[in-house]
Amino acid sequence: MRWLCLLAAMSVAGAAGAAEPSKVSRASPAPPAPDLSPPAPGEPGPDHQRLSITIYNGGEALVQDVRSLDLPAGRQRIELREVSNQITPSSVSLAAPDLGIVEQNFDFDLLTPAKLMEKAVGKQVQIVRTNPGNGQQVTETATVLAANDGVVLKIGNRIEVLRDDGAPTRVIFDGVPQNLRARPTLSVTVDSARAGRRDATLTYLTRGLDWRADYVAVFDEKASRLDFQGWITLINLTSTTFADVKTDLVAGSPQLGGIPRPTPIRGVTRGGTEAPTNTQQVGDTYLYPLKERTTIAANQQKQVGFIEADKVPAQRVYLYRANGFGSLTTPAHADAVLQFSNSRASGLAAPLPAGTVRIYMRGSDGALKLIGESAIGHTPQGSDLSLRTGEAFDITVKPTLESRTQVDRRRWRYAMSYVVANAKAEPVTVQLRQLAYAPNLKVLNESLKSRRANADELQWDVPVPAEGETKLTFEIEEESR
Amino acid sequence: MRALVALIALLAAGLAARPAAAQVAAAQVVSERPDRVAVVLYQDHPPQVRPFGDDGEDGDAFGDDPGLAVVSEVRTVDLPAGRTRISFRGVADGMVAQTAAVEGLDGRLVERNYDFDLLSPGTLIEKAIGAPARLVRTNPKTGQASEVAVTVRSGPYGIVLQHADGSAEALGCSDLPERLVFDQAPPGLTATPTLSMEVETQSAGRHLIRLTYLATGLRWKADYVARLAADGRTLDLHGWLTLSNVSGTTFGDAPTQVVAGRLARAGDDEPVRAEPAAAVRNCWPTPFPRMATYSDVAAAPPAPMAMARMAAGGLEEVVVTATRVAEVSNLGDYKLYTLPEPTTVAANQTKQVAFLEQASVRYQRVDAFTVRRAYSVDPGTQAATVLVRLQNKAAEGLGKPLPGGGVTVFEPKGNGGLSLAGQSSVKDTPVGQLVRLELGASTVVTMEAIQGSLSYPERAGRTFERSEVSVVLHNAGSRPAEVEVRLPQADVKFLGESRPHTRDGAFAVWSLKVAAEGEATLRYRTEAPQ
Repeated sequence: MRWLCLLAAMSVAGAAGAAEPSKVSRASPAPPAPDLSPPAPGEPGPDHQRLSITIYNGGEALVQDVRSLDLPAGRQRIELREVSNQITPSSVSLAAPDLGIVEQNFDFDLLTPAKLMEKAVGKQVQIVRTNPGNGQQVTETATVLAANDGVVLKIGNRIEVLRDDGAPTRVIFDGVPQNLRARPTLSVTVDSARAGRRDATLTYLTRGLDWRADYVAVFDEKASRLDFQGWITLINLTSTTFADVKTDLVAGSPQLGGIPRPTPIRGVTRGGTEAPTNTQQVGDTYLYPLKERTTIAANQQKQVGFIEADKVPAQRVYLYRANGFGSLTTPAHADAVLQFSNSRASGLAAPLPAGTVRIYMRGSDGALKLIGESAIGHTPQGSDLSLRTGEAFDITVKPTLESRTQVDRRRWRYAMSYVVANAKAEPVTVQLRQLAYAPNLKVLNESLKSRRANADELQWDVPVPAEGETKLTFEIEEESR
Repeated sequence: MRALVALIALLAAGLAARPAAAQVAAAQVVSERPDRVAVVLYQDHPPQVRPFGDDGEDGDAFGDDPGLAVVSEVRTVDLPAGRTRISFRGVADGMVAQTAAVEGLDGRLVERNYDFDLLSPGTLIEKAIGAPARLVRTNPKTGQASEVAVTVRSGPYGIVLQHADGSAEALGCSDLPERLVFDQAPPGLTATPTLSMEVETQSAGRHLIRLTYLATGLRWKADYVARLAADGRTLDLHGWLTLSNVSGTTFGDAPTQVVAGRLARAGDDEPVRAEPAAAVRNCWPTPFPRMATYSDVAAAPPAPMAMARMAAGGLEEVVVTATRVAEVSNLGDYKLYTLPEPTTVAANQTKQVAFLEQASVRYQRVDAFTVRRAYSVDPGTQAATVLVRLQNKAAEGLGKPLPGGGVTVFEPKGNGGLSLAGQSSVKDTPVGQLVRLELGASTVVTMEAIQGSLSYPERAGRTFERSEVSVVLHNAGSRPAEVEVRLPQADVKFLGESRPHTRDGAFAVWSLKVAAEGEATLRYRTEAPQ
């Protein structure tokens, strides 16, 4: 909040009443437009800037900024300070009772020494030279003739190039040109129907604010349970601090142009069918309000816990997917996959906004050790999740295409064998999935019974003894199109 | 117990909370450093094949992976009752802040923050825009300093100041010694990125907490040295855990473990990189090049990642310890190696610890050729690929999990010394599996393939290719050679062969012994659909 002190003092230098909440000027003639800074903190009165922010996934945020304005009647220009420096200018709207908007401007002519000199062309400046021999200063008045790759001055009847001799020379300008600014500035020309104080709502979109979820899942291998924690992580990469702001997070990024394309939800194997009771639904998405007003500082990453569930039933399965009929010289590892659901029955009864699940196990020393990470999409409540944690070191699969024979012009037979090996001290079952979606596909023979896992894949559940191996063989006939 | 912490409905509209009511002032507590630190490093996976002759030692032997470690810190904090903001200092500089977890606080965690708005010359100016400052000039001749009150109007990329009378000047464009002086640093800027947590506790007291987080800049890989014995049948295998710390943080006397196996990664474990801003004195153009000295003063420092890479290019120190061997255990589906004693992994250091010392491991050395069913072009004379194969079984003298890594193979020289036989790599290999090391081309065992009859009979409307090939093997060595000829065979029908083949996965394999300074011939006749 102390930043406001600085900002409040930010109006024209030397002007009295810098801490006045909002000052307004007539549009013409135009003296420096005063800013519409919020007041210093702790000041009484209804002038406090009331901020609320809705942050979407993908770096977009909607800012609603209610300011109390004391405006005279008539046409005037308001300069809006303390908006995000990554504002989307075209999204700005200002609404207040008895106030009409004439035009909005977004000025980004930045004040730099070079710009200052360019704007001084044709004007008078003071030149202060310091005598390198005795340190004495001589001040002269000069007219800037040009500032093109060097500054040409007219001093009395002389034409000179500034600092042609390299001697120390100060240049004092009469003032700061009005439309050069330290940072891009939003100004609005309004027509006020009456004089007096009223609340104005400034609404705009900004980039630079983003959020997602970070989950910590601690897996208890023996009990087949997960302790699950969810954190909302929001990041402010703007150089603007949003103080004491009411924050809503929307799970989902609104379509901002382009053609919508259906994409599978990562991590989810069955969509949910439970309506959450403790989350707000807005349209087709969920809203996560932060419980307390908070300050989102510039260059800050903030995390707030939003879900916690212990002892969620979870099972670890081993999965190997074969995307074709082929052989490997060196065996491949089966994947370890963690399966659980965010349903009422599991105790994890909440929709899960998109983010990263980091899965840990507790070592014998009690410390958490990472065993894998997985990205998930926006997951409705009641979904089944299946997250790959990594490769199982001790479980390998060696596929061999035993034979490939052509039956007739369109039909082929593939005989496959998969040697599934287990170096663990306990038996395991490996789900072996074969991509098999050709028309008129037939399993001619198989050493274990297959079932169809989904439209694309056949699945065999292969039991493998401890420190042993199991060879799965099958023959498939498929028709090419 | 299930606890839904914060899925609380919206605050009632109109309950426009005043800041004083909404934000409770929090006490500030700083935890300067951890009492104890333990680290778990994750495996860096090498490229599958390193070409023979590629020394691979230039620059960073680890490649581009930023590495991953779990850092677990035990800290003691004294907290007052009520709301407290704990700032954690002395965390690893590669910390991935969003993964931080705290255990052992018996209070409510309100929020945690990671602030990376850094105090730098640039932010000092940026935050001072509109604020009063003092411009101090020193007369270069007399040495007298004069001071005038100004307001900063613009910066940090070209600084414009305004005097009380409204006139303006640029800073650093006159070539006079001049500087800006502020009465205080702007609030909210920190020296280093800082993790803090806001907690609410019922009663005051001392808490022993454990802070766990992921960090980049630490990683390990496995390196093996195999020494072939003079008997030609056994080798000694040594395995090293090569730990590397390219972060700027030294983990002193830390219990250290490494995890072998390939974890799924989500790819977003990147520490937030705070970018300090420089204050640049851009001026109007002048004919005199001296101005350059000013704008060069505050050249932006290289980004931390770049510095890490620079450091990685020349790690300062390599420390090897082999007095004791790291112990292996299971972590879920991975292998966990615990270093025998707490170790110091210093910043920009590579350290090696032994994890495997196996003497007299039986192996088989073969000269291998992969042949084709038919040759439309004469392939010329081909050199054999030297293969060293060993079964990772206790009965063969091994039977230990082998994390993937590079293998350097030495063989005895006639005069008793050692000679480099080749470099290869292994994948993560569990107990019971075959290890296959390719040592490159033989200069002793060669082969020519000679195409015999080739015809294209048709049956049932389909064309087949019928081919006869002779393979002539030569051994220019003084010892007999074990040779394997391998033919991919998925849809091959054998019509005849000079000796029977065996099957190894997708290959038909003929094993032959070629006498010293000898020759052998293999013939096969096959048919396959065209």
